[in-house]
Amino acid sequence: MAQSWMPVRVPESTATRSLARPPEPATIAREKSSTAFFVDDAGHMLTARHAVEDCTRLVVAKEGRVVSARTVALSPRFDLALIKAPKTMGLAAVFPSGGAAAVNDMMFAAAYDKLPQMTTRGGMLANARVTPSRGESEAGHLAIDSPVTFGASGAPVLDSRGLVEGVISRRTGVDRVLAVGAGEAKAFLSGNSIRFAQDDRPQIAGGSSRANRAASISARVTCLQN
Amino acid sequence: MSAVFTVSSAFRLRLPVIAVSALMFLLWPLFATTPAAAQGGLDYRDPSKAPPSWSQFAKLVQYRFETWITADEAVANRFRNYLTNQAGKEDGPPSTLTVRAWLNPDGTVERVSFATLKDAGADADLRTILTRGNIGEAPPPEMLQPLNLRFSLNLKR
Repeated sequence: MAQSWMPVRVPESTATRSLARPPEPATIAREKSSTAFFVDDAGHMLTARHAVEDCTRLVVAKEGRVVSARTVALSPRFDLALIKAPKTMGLAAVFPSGGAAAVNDMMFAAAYDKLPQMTTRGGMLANARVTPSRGESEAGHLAIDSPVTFGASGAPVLDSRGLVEGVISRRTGVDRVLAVGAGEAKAFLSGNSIRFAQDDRPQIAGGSSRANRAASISARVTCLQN
Repeated sequence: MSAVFTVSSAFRLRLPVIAVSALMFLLWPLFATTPAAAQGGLDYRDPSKAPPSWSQFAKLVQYRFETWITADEAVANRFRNYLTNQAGKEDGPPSTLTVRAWLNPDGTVERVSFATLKDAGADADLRTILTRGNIGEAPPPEMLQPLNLRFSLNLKR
């Protein structure tokens, strides 16, 4: 059974009162956190569809700054969603313009909330490996061996050049994770008139920490639900 | 050898009454020499031929400086107040300011230099702001330094 990595938490007190913004929900019954990453300089972010569906409100947090966001589009076919924050906080991701990643290519992927501990320990080059696809049912996806857990839905999968090769979607086995492929992510963005960057040249210096680049492009997205 | 690259972006400093918008241009370390540039004592590199890792890092420096200057804390607030109160005055800050920044391999800002703002306190505040944090990534080892960042300040009420 597929599993997503969004912790669901029920606040101790659900009876909250909005002081400044009456339109906001008076009661938040649940919240779930995941990861999103910026794809342009206008604040657009890509994440997993299941991470932001049925949300009363979206909140994006990065390095102590918290802003509201809104859902722009949900992919009808893949586990992708486009959301928008007021501005891009950090760098916008760059996608490969060429072919897809190959089996055994080393990748990096992690939940936004896991990145600070990785970067403060000197960074990380890779923590995942591309594995063979299991056929037509996984078309359009990138399968990786990865230890990602809760909160990683929507996280970018970075290759050795710092390019986004996929968007974390769901687990299909022990340490086996499916990410929506870069080609499908780019098509989704193009279909929503988002001008994203693509390049096959390295975006980070050789040997640079991909965890740090992930931190530069990513943020935590929290879905508040009634 | 100093060098130049250029990237530009705009940001707005949010103040209660007066909004200060500033354009920041990154002048990059350059590689290939052009005659015109050589006459001016600088080596220039065609930005389109610069490695993407350089431009990505420069964008990150740009973002960090923007974030630090617009932060809601005492030194940044004092510096922005100085800009809004003194802009346009004879002894006020210049309309553009070039900041040279040297980055350490761990992503911290080693030092910055810039022409005086004619206010020792503002000079000290800007230096404090721009050297207080970590860029978040290591500069590409081969990237020439310093980065030259040119700020163009526009005040809006």
